[in-house]
Amino acid sequence: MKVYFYSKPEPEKESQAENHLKIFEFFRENGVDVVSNLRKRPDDDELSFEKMEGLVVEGSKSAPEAGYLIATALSQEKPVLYLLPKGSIIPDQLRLLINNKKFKKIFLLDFYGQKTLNNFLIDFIDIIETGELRRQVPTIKFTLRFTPRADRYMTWLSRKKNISKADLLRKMIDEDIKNDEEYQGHLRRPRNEE
Amino acid sequence: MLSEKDPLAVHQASDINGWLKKMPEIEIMAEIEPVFLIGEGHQTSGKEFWQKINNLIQSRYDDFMGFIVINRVSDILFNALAATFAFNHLNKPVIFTGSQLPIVDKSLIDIKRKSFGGLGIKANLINAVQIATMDFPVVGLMFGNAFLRATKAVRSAIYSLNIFTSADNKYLAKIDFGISPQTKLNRPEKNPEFVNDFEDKVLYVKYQPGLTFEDYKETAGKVKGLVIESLPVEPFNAEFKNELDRIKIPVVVYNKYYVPDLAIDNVIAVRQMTKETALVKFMWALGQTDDIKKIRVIMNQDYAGEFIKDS
Repeated sequence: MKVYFYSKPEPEKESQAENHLKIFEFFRENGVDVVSNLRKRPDDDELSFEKMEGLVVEGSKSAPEAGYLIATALSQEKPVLYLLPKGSIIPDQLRLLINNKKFKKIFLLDFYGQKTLNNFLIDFIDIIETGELRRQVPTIKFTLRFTPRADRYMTWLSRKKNISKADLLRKMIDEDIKNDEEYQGHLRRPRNEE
Repeated sequence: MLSEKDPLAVHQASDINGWLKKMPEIEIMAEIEPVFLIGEGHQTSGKEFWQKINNLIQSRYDDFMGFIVINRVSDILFNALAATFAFNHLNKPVIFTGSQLPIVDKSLIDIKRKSFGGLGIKANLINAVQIATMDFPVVGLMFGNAFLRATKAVRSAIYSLNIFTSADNKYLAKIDFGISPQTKLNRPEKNPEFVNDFEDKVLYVKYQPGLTFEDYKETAGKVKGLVIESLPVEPFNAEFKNELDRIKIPVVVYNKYYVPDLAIDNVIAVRQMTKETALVKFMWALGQTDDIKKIRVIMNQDYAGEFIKDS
């Protein structure tokens, strides 16, 4: 498996260099061949983006090249993992992609910390290999009791939308997660324990 | 630009938004203002069309970092050349691009679009948008993995990702994991001088051994200029040369490699240039003046890197 890893380096920021190193290490340990703007290898000149199976961008420092690479990857239907350090703000232009149905399955934007970085990289490999994120497949079982009134409403809406009641509820919660700014802010907040 | 099967081919201005929505990737790279020029299936060449494109760019020149013209591939080189000469000393990128697969032979296109993974327009457009935000003060063509000057472009393939190659093998940029500039260009500080006049009453003749001028005499009397693509070194026979001496209109004798100076007042020898460039440059020169001395000066002056130095 070959992936392209892009980041605009900030030489004065040691933590960024450490994270880059972790990303390279993770891929090496998992047998993924990494082509990167940060480490040029003589043979890489023979390659092109078409030969890559995915793109990882560490976006602590924004760069126009990142937008170009993301656009190129998505146009070739290749998965993209955009990593932002916790506490960062999502670049405006990427909000368009997060809300785009077409890219929902192949564009991942995650806020990482020291402990969570590897999890996101695992997810990314998962998407390249299987075409979907297995972690986001519903696996947690709930037993809920509803009032007859709520049930009547769900039956009516699920018929109208032609989806199951379970899918309807899952969709409503997903929408809430996406639109809850306070919760999104909570996710972005750096945690001291990391 | 899209296939006839695709309901989102651009026929009118209102189709553009739907067309762009098919490519949401573009929006993350730059703020784009689409402008409708002409619909699919209409004529996209000729003097009036050149002037229309150029006027549109000129009228918005100060408002944008760069300009992209999406055009049918069969006409694109001439349209780009007309923009090249109309904007002298350009200080922003003007990029012409399109789909490598024009609708001509549908069965062949169906085969090719599979191997291309599409019609090529999306990748070309993404690359063009990125180039439009970079430091390329030039009119260029963006196809496949190369960005090159219109003045150097030679059509080298019918259906391929790279349908244009550079006549001197020099490119402005190559596309690999990004846009890699290959040539350093100086950006003029002032806005370009805009001269958008062209003369389209020009006859183009390709000379072959044994050809007499007699066949062209009547037509030559009705045009404002004549281009003869000649043989190199000894361009044509003495009789043909004598005929040229008798006609009064400006004549360009062109060969890509070499043409000797013919010592005829109305004849200008043009060499080391692509034939498309020589023709459009001559049409532009004739649009400005009918004075042969001035035309000679224009044809010999380098405006946009059009002379091929290494051929």
